[in-house]
Amino acid sequence: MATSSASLLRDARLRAGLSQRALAERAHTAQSVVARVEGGQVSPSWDTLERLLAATGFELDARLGSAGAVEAPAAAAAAPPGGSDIPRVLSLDPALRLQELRNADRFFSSVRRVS
Amino acid sequence: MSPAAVFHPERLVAVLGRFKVSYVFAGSIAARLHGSPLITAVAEIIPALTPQNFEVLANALTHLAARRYAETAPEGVEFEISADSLAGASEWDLITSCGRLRVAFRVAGAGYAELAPNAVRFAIHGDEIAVASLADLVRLHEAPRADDDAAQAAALRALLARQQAVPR
Repeated sequence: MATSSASLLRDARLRAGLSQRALAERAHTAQSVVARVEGGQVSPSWDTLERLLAATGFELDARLGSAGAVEAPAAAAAAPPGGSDIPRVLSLDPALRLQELRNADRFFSSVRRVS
Repeated sequence: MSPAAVFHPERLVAVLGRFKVSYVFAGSIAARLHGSPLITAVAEIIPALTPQNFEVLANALTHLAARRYAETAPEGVEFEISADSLAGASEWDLITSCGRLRVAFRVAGAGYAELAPNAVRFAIHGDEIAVASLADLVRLHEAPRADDDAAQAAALRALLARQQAVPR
């Protein structure tokens, strides 16, 4: 397998912005289990790896390929980007929404082009 | 949500400058500085990819109390901020004490190394900021990543066409 379970889990965890402890809590396991898998000290079963990846918000996507062109399991790009700013703006009261405009105005009023 | 999450680009620039982060502004702030009529309260920076810059960026983001932004959690989700963790993803969408901040290391195949040489320089309160050129901004917006980006992309293309049609 071109991608090891260790690097796959670590990559998924970092992309999810989780510490090993936070991931362990989500997966209902011990932080030491996550550490051992990421450290390559243990090779997890398929089920265990799938469960740990699910706790990061990713899923294992494995496909069969012809010999010599085996596609490695990959963490599917399931983690959504930040997305719309609408929920954040809605969470501000109207005075703060106006404050943002004033802050932006101050910034653009103060910037000067130098090149 | 805490009032601390209100968009405040002046403070953001001051903090990034204080921590000596090397970056190029892209996104809404850059677009507005080039003349786009559209402005969103989301700053976007493309940092240099040196180990030293990852370190200072992590320090600056810690100072800014950065958390991962999501539509379902606009107040943000705590994450491990370190040079290593930041290097583990190509893009971070964050909410900070100065509002939304996207940190992207490569967009549409371009990173700091490609954008910095063409960047336009601006100054604010003694800090100099590099802003991606208009042509580069159009390229970065070729694949809009959020709903807001599609309208911005159209505005930037119109600006570039206008700039190319009217010799200065």
